[in-house]
Amino acid sequence: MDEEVLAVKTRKDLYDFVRTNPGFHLREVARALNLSITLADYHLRFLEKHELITSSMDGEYKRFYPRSIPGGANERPALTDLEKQILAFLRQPVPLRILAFLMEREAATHKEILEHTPVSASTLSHHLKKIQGAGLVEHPEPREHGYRVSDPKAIARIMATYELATPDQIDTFIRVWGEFRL
Amino acid sequence: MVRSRRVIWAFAFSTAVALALALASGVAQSQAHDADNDSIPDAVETATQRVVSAVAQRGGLSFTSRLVSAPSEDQFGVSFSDGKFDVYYVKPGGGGVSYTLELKSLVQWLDENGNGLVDDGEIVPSESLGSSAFGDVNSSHVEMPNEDGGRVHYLNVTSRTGLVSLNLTVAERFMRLSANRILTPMEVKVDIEINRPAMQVGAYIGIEFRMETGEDVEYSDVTWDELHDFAVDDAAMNVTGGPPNAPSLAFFSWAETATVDGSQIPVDWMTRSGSEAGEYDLYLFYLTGGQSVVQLVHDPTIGVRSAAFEDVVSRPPPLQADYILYGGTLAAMAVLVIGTIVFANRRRKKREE
Amino acid sequence: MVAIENILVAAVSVFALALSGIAILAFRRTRDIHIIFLAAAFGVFFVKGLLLTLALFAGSIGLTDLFILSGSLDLVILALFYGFTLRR
Repeated sequence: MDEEVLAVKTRKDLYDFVRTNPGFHLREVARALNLSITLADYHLRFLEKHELITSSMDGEYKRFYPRSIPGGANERPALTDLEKQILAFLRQPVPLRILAFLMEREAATHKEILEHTPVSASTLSHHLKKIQGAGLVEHPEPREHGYRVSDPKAIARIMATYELATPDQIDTFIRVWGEFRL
Repeated sequence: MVRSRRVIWAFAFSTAVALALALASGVAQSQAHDADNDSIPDAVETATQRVVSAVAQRGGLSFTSRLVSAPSEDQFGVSFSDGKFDVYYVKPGGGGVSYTLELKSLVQWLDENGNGLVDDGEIVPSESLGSSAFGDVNSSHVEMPNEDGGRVHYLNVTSRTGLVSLNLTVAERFMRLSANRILTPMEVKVDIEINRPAMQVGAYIGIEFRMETGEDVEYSDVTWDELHDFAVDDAAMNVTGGPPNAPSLAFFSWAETATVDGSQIPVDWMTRSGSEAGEYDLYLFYLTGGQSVVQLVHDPTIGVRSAAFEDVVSRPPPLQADYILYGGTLAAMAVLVIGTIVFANRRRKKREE
Repeated sequence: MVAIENILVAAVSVFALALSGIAILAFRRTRDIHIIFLAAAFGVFFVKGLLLTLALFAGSIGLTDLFILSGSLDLVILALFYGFTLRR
């Protein structure tokens, strides 16, 4: 698994842990999940930034709590159309990689994304076009700045909440035949 | 490589190898169904099966052999009387070939100068055959069913003094006679038996034949039967007739060994043009080592190259539908595909954990 | 002595059907209309397997007819694959 996709999984583990064990501080969370403090801190800050968890200082300790989601913490909420669309993309290996990569950055150019995605340039363009068409990613002026995620919070929430499958036979079929073009 | 992926690759590879082997063996053996185990495929036997009708009476014997299956109709016939064989072959579309072959006489060859060659004066006629030996003698015919050869006809004619006896064998299907010899339905085996011939000391016994035909004659050390692995170590006189674009072939062939009182001896041969056009003399010499002979058996063959046979061996084999094989493969393939899908999914789920 | 034609025609049919199925599932997942070309190509392959099975069991088909049937379907399959490569 590459860095970004692994990050998604790590963040999901952290999110689940905080939800089931609210109030733990950084060192305890890191120890429980076998992560370095630095890494745990980085990811927890990401989750906080995207309003999935919240923190409060307790003396010198920073403790983490889940953000309450309507309908109960343990239930999966009903998905909006946008969320369904996001999920659909996140379940495909190449769009997942693209979105995971973009989530780590403010923006990235086509070239930068291509360096981190194991597909051809034309395939990448094809996927970016589709993700852009769904409104998940934008490519605003000035164009040189590249692509960026439109609604990072929504994507982060979906990433943290749902199982993102490893590619199956169908995905392999899609990826391989995706390269079969003039 | 992860162990489970190695398993899938090994499985796929071995399946591919098995399929390749099955394919190769299938291609190699696609014609090979052989119910009577004579190494002639059933398809060939059926296509070349003939119907023989034979007659034996005072003065001579004869038979005709006709192809059973339409549309190809070909017929060959052999008759023997007064010491002479009459051979003909006709095939569809006309054209055919014929010849006569007379057993002229028994001869003796005294190699006086010991050079191993038949020089002038070294051949001495010993006993006249032809009509003097075989004129107006009795002949017999027996027909017997045989698992391999279908209905097999045995005909016999013996010379007046019992010196020379001819045993003819003609079958309706390919019949294996020995490890090296298959009798085709397009020929008749002519076992020549020579009993207690009077011989000079040190002489070799021989038979003088005369062939007469208006067609082209060629001598060959490799016979049609040998070319098709129906015999080994033969030689022949090949008679070719009919139109040049569709020639017919009839032959008189003989093994290059014979049996004398239980032992195998070599057979040598010599040819000479006859006194007139269309006459060909053939001498077969039995190299008995100069010993006296109680019984000598040699089995020449009179045969034809059948158009039907040539036709069927060049025809591609028909398709053979097999429900069980088909259904079995369908099931096996379904198991393979479903199995790999399930296996791959399970492996993926394990990785997710 | 194995009538290999039975094995081949059964195996082709199963593989082709499986690949058609995978292609259809891929289409449902991606909603990429071009994948229909692939599904159609494998589908025609499956149809070819069925027709060859019919020819094998229903009786004699001449070599010429078999050639034309097989060749036509191969042409359709390859055209579909080629069409797939042309997508934007």
